[in-house]
Amino acid sequence: MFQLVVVMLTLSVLGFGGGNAIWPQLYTDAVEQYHWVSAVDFSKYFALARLAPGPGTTFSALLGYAVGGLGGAIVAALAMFLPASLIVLGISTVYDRFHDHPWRPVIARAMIPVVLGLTWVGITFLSRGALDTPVTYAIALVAGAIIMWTNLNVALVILGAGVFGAIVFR
Amino acid sequence: MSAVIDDIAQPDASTHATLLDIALIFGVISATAFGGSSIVMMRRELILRRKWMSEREFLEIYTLAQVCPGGLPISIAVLCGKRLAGIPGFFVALVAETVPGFVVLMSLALLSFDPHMTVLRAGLRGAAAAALGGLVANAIQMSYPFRTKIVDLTLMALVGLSVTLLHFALWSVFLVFLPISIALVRLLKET
Repeated sequence: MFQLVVVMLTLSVLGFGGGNAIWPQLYTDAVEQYHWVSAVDFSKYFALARLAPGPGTTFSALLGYAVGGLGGAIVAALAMFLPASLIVLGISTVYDRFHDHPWRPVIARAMIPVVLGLTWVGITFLSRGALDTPVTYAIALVAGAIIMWTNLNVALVILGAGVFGAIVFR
Repeated sequence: MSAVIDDIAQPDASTHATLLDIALIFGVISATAFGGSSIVMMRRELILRRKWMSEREFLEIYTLAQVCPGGLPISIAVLCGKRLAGIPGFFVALVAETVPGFVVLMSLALLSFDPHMTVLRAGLRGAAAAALGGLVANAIQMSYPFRTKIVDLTLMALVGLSVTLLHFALWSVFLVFLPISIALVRLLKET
């Protein structure tokens, strides 16, 4: 349990860049270093966390569950969420303090193409897991079009696709 | 500072977000944002439906969240909460964005040991594909204001190639491309 907290705290603080950068390190720690779960279970949990709602880093709770049941899950989630959020609070406070600094709009503007580039890269990575058959491509296309051109609640679109998937992929 | 982004929707100053609003919005998103669609939902909810923020403000929060540690949806949620209702908004958004998602994920994990898992997995596959479609729609809408900016498009492409082909780690992407981008912004006076 102590190791669990240390690993999650470290990744929480060092996991800059939206969480996706921490998975390789988490795998090394959870599977190879401390043997909390097998490699197969790790990828199974990972897929589940990817598909489940809520932030992807909630995945840490599943590893915590494997180590120490429900208590482990809560501890792992807290150790993952809290430190990072407090750092976010600090960063944004500093950022707001420089609100009128002449460099702020320059940096904010310069970040845009870099971040949009990363966003598109993230989509190509995610598509490897989500798109495999023509049907999945069709679902993505239809859902994307609905989300882009209508005001329909996104959750409804995705849950609808879930019901559709439950029928056609079974 | 001239507006770089032609705001699709202007924020409506007459409506204000209460802490309860923040709790409900992020709570619902946390519990229902299947397949990583939470950012799509936040953007729609805050900008398009409630008009509490401009596209530009959200993009600024989105960019700031990229350089922060922790999961992207959590960082965006707490930053939006802080923007809308100060420090209390920050903590309300933190709890609302994490707790429901935690409960649903744990329930799903326990359910997945059930023999009915095939139905669940099939449903999750459909949901994941739809969520990806939503991400693409979101990325198109966020990139749309820059569709004629050759410099931005080139930088976006180079960032993409550096990660996919050269396997740049995230910090090296920022280390390499942010100074270049800053220099270009200064040079072209693009703020």
